[in-house]
Amino acid sequence: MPLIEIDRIDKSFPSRHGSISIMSDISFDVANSDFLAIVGPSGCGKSTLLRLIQGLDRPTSGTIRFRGRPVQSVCHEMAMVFQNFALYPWLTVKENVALGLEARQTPLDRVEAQVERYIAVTGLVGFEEAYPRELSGGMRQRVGLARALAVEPAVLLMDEPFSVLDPLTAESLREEVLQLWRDPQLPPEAVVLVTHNIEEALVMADRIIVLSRRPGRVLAGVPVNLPRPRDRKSPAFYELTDYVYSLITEGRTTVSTRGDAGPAPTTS
Amino acid sequence: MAEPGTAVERIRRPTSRAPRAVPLNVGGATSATPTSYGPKLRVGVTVSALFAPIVVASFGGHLGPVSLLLPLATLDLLQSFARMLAAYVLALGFALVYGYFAASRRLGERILIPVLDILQSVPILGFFPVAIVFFVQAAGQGSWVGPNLASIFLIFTCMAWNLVFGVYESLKSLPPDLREASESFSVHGWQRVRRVIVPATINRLVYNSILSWTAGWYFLVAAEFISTSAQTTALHGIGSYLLTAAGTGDVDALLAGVTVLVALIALLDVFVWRPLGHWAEKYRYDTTPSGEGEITGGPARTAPLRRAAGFVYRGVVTGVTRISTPLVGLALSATPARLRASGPKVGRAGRTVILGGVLILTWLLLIFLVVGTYHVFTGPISPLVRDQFLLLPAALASSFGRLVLAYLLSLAICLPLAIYLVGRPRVYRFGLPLVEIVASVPATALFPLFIFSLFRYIGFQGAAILMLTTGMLWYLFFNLLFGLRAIPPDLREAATSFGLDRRQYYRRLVFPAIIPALLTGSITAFGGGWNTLVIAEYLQYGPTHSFKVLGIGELIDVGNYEAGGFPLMVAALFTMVIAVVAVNELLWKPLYRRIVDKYRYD
Repeated sequence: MPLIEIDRIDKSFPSRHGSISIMSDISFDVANSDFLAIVGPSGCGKSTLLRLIQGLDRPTSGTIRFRGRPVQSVCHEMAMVFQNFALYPWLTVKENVALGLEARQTPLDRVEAQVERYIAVTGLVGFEEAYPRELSGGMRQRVGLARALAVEPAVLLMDEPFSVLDPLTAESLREEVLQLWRDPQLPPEAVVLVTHNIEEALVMADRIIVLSRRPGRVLAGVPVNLPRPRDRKSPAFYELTDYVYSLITEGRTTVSTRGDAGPAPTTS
Repeated sequence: MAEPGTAVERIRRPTSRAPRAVPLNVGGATSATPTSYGPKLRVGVTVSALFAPIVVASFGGHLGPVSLLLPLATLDLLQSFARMLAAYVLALGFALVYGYFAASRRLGERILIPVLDILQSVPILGFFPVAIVFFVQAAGQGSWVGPNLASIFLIFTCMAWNLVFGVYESLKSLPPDLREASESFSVHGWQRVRRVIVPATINRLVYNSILSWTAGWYFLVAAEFISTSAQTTALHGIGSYLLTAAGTGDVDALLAGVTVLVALIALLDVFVWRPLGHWAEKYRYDTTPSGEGEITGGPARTAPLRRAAGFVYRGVVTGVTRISTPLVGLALSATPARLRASGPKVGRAGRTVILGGVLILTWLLLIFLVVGTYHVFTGPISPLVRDQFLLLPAALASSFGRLVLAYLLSLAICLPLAIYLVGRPRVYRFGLPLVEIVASVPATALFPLFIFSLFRYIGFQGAAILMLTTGMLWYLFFNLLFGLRAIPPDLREAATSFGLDRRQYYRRLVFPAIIPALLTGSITAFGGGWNTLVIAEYLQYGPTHSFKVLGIGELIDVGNYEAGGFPLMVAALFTMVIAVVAVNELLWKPLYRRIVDKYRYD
């Protein structure tokens, strides 16, 4: 049984001129130990989709199942890393990381232990008492990551987590996330990453769901069978980048010819 | 200077206008498309233009006893409206010129802004006697022009400062790259005024105009019932109408007056301010960086709120730098250099003591100066007035106590109401315009009604506190409301995502998040409260009825009305100004410094 099943999801918002369809007929699965990336152009509903998965928002039609059960309310076996960090400016790093644990009524000593552990894991030792505004963007997102990992979620949801960081910081943080992902001691069974950066998706994910322009539809599910660590300069990487890029830019025409989950080009 | 852009503009502009044929009935205009507000606006203007001749014609014949005939309430109201309009036009012109020079000339800034600071911290009713004497003398005794000019001037004083700061702050906060761009393309002279300065100020000016009008209506009652020890001149207008109705106990007339007043305010809101607000939206330049364009709520609906929230937060920053009252700066620079040099060692407690001492000394000095000057130029102060001087400390204390109680009452009303409204989008959408209209009804107009129906139950003290509450409530309410609305959606989302329960949600997110807004709201509420004291502690309606409770506002009024009371009035005024400065320096500024860095978002 897949960990998450997304089954023919539609989402539309009411607007002054009737309703605007954000995404339509979206289906895919997230398996155990899957690192899945969702890519697509601006406004295709990627971030909305992520929120639907956790149950922060309801789809207009269709169902999302987690471990076979429909997601009816906010699912606390998933945790989110936000694009703009969403850290509480009046809480210290430690208090921010403890936020999710407190909400779960975790005993105090366990909160302490978990917070300490994930602060160490994310390289925040020494910054426990700092306030978010005193940290650089990269450090802030580490706090966001620690906060999400501290609740030991089954699924880690990441909403463009590197997009507001400068390229160098983003690159090193990506590496660290991958290292954490490889560590079998650490929690998430699966990761869903939303990004508009195709390269980022190809560096990190095992599989890529490509969405079309609004209303977002699944253009293709592209498995990334490149060996890790991924070499951005390899011809296969180039080829796959080109392929995903052309899927997005050609948009609908590709849908009609290739259908829902078109075959990926041969990869080494 | 004729630049090519203008010609193109001139040709293009007519096509973008709304259709020319505008039905003169209001109902027809409301059916216009929601995006084109031109017609509505024009109907509003036309309607008021139609009444203008009647109003102007009615000015001359009114100096007799105020009549309470029901239809006359409307006529009186239109006279008041004409006065408000005149005062507003003057204030607007003044604000543009004054604000521009304050913002663009270094010397202007050094002098004009501190002057304005002092002017706005003096309660407007302090201008009363001077203004009346000046204008009535200038226009000749018995002429209808003098009292009208005095009244217009008084309304002007409660409209203008706010507009000036609007112009000044929007010019100062013009993003540097816009200023650099206009310099880089050498945009000068008239073109600069038209393309940069006016557009930069419009948005803020519209918003502050609404505030100015609200303040204007609020003080209208007082500004029309011009009364001094020498003479009582009741101008015809809705303010004096209401007071006279209260004085004679004519509840029907009172209700009729309140009804037409509320109707006019609601009409202005719907047909003038709302369309103007929408129009001014396009002159907003504090562009918040948006995400990658995912639709989360429809930009059209959130835009005005974001704007409002921006004002609140910009208000925090500029408002508090403005609190750095120049008087204190002067006082501190007068303290020996040795004391100041040991600044860090003195510490917070030491600073408080020194500041408190300086303020008390300044206060004593001012009182001494007032008494001395009066003694030298006019003669000895009458024993009756002198006795009242001794009441100043007690009066100040009881006024402050009243302010604190009214503040707590306001908070107890506003916080739950704001949280309730923000938590329910549907109620919010219908509730907010309603609350806005209720808020724009001047509580001063209702005060006579309050006294009549309530003081039997809550006493004069209770009525005064209730009145103060109406002068403080809305500042707090709107600040809290915008503070709540300004909580970044991703912080809310994170709370939901991590499953914070209700208690944690308020403890971790909502209460910390609104602290800056609560502080701004409190500062402005107390500002409003000090101003309201003059009205809330003393009211003379009709020849025999008067309402008074011991307080600093009451002493200002008593000084104003009693023979030989002028020094008392000035002394009470100085006492209040010193108290305002003391509360700002000893309470708000330290609190603000400690709080704002921790609780602001980036």
